[in-house]
Amino acid sequence: MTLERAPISGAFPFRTGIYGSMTSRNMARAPMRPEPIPNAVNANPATSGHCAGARQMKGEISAISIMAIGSAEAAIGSAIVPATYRSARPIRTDQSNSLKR
Amino acid sequence: MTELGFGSRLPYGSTISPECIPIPSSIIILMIDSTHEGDTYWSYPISLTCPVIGIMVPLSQWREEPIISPACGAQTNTCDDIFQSSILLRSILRAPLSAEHFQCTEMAVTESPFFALAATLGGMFPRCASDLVTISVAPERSSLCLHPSSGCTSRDVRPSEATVKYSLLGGTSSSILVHGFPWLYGPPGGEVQPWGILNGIVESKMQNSAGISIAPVRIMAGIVFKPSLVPYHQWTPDVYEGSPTPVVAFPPVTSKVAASGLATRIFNLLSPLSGEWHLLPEILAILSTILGNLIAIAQKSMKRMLAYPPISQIGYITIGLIAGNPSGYASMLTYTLFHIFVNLGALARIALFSSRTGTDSIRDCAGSCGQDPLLALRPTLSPSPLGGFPPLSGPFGKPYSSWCGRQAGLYPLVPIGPLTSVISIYHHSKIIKLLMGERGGRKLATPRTINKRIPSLSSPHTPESLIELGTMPRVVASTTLGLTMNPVTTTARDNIPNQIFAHTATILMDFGEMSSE
Repeated sequence: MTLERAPISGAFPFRTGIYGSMTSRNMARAPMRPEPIPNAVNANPATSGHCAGARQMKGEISAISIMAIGSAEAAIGSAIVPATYRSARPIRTDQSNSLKR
Repeated sequence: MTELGFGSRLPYGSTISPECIPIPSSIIILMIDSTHEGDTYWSYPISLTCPVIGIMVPLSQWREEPIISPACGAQTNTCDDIFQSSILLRSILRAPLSAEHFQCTEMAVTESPFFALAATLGGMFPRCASDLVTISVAPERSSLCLHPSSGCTSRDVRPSEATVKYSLLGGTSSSILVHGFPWLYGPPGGEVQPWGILNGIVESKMQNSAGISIAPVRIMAGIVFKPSLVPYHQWTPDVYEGSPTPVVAFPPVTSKVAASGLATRIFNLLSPLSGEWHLLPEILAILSTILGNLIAIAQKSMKRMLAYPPISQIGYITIGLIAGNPSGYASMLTYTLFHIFVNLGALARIALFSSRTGTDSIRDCAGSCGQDPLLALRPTLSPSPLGGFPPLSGPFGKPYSSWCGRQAGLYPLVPIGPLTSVISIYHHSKIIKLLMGERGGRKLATPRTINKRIPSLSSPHTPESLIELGTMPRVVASTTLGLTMNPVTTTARDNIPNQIFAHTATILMDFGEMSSE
């Protein structure tokens, strides 16, 4: 795999995450939809560094930091969903209109 | 440069000594809350004391040269210390606002101060972010704490909805931001240090490649969400309107200050890569200053209306950032300081006002001057400081950032300041007229006071609540800070290190040689 082809491995999860976060209508599923994007972020430096001939594995090690951030975000999303469900009846995002423009 | 050896064990004098104070404080808050039955109000004194001590540490370490920690490569200088002090100041000013809210609503007391302390700690980390990995995860550390802090304070529908919107949009934009950084890692051959990246790109002659062009666009698209630059500002009015007033100011303003501090580092890294990188932030700054003032005119809710002036203010701060010279950074720091005092003060005064009127609607506040003139005077003074009346801070901060823009050759940005000041003065004058003159508003309720009065040293009007007490320094600061602007900008300008610009100039010269070959 050459350096030009390396980011492709990260492009697919990135595309999936962006599409999911834009089209999600269920408030319980919505926090999970952008989760493939940190996967893409992890894949990108790991493959790019390997293809570019990096002497040290800094890209792979940085994936640990990104995973920590991603898991914290998932935990916060998981905490927000039950709190929202207790207070707000509608579970669909397109029915949430209490904050009017 | 002052370097620390591996034998240094004392945290004082190291790069992370200010961060060593909020960490044990937040652990203590959690331990007290988990071991104590029922509500405990220890969270407030701890969450107030910690930033007060924390702000003394960088002031006591004030020095001319940056400190480098060879163990982790973190490098800090006095410019970063000023940003960090802004975050801590923010945390100090926030503390008195929310105490009574939790007494009244009987919500859990510990959550809000803990999230605020954690967000403060997260906002302090960008100052020592000097490599790609730390820069990419630094904005997340404060954002992730700010997402739940806007919704943990009320069981109502609106805070929950605001929190969901904030966290979804914030999570997606942060992911896009973090996805931009690895594009800078691979092409230089696996480098994470900024100078290694730029040298690697120059040596491998990849400065014109598509990957290196995509990276700044992705990074900017992700970073501009946090300071809510237009068109990524959609979350700010929802958070302002949805969250309870005493707690609403903390997430957006902290996000803006932390993002401004981080953006200086990111733009220093990106500036040699593309000569046209200024275009995108210029467009965003123009859109933010204009639309932030225009959309505020159409708002009916006082809280939602207050969300838009900070959006326009971040446009002025961005002008200083794009200028890229010491004066530009000094104007950024000065305006950030004004921004903190004015916005917190505005929301504190609106909180007092709303507690008496029982509504957020602007129309319902008509004619309140006849019922309680002092109360009506408060929201009158709140947005005016940055509107443009001397000796308030606005007419000193805006011309300075416009002057920095002119000095850097950013001529489209220069007339934006005066034009938008006119719009904001018109719009604030409408509100003042409504409060003072018109009829048709609600009858003001009697003031709710807590049982224990706050003792005041010498004032004719004893503050009856912590919010009033906390508003006093903000009133003084936001109305008189304009007069003290010269020492502030001089201190900021003199302490911006020249190393940033010297090294960038070297890399720019290399780029110029490579492209001319």
